[in-house]
Amino acid sequence: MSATEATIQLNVNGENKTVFVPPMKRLLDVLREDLSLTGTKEGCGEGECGSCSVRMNGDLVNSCLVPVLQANGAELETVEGLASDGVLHPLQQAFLLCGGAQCGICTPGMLMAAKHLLAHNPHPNIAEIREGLAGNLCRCTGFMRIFESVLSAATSNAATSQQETHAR
Amino acid sequence: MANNQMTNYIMPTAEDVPPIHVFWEELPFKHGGFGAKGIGELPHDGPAPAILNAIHDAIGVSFNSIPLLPEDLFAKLCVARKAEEPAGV
Repeated sequence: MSATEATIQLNVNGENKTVFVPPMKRLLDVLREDLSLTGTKEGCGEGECGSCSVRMNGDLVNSCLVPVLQANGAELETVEGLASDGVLHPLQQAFLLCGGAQCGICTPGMLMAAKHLLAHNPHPNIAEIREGLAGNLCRCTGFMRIFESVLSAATSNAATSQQETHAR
Repeated sequence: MANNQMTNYIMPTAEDVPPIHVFWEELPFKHGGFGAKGIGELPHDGPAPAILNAIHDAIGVSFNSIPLLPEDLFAKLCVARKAEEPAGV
């Protein structure tokens, strides 16, 4: 069996992990099965829906389309890395407050896409939010509350940084 | 199946979806608890786990994936039966 498996090193949410898996195994399955990070969901499994979105070396990728060998040595961010010490990330808090999640399958991907968007554009307008989330399908909400959630998170970031500015 | 993938089952993305206004129309469904009627996709989520739970309740062997084939059931029952046999038989 060892000939068909490879040692892969990953940095997941800041922690170094080593897995021994078939090199063409999907990153999605390595995260879920080998690392027990089941927050990342499989939607379509063919790169159409964005449910399995994670960040890899700062890029937003569909983890169902990434053979794990391609992720060797990469820094990965999954939805599990958003909250820290039991405190929700501002995006998670905003999704909670604005009703941005219904059935929840798209939510981890939406959160990662939103995080990716805000990392590049901390104060997006609605059109930019729509564009940033265009690769993530949601069949429950009709998207509106998701846009509101991201907008709210971006605004509360703005409010926080404004407060910080005023405090100085 | 006419549309078995999302490549040609085109659904609105975040860029396409129009503003949505919600209106409530109350028409109680006489066959549902409290008049409720399941619509959309979520009601599809319940039956499979309910059936698997019923199988667990009936035979004490649990399954956590579908489709569940008679062969799967048979294989697990054989394992369970073997485990139940007293040692030395």
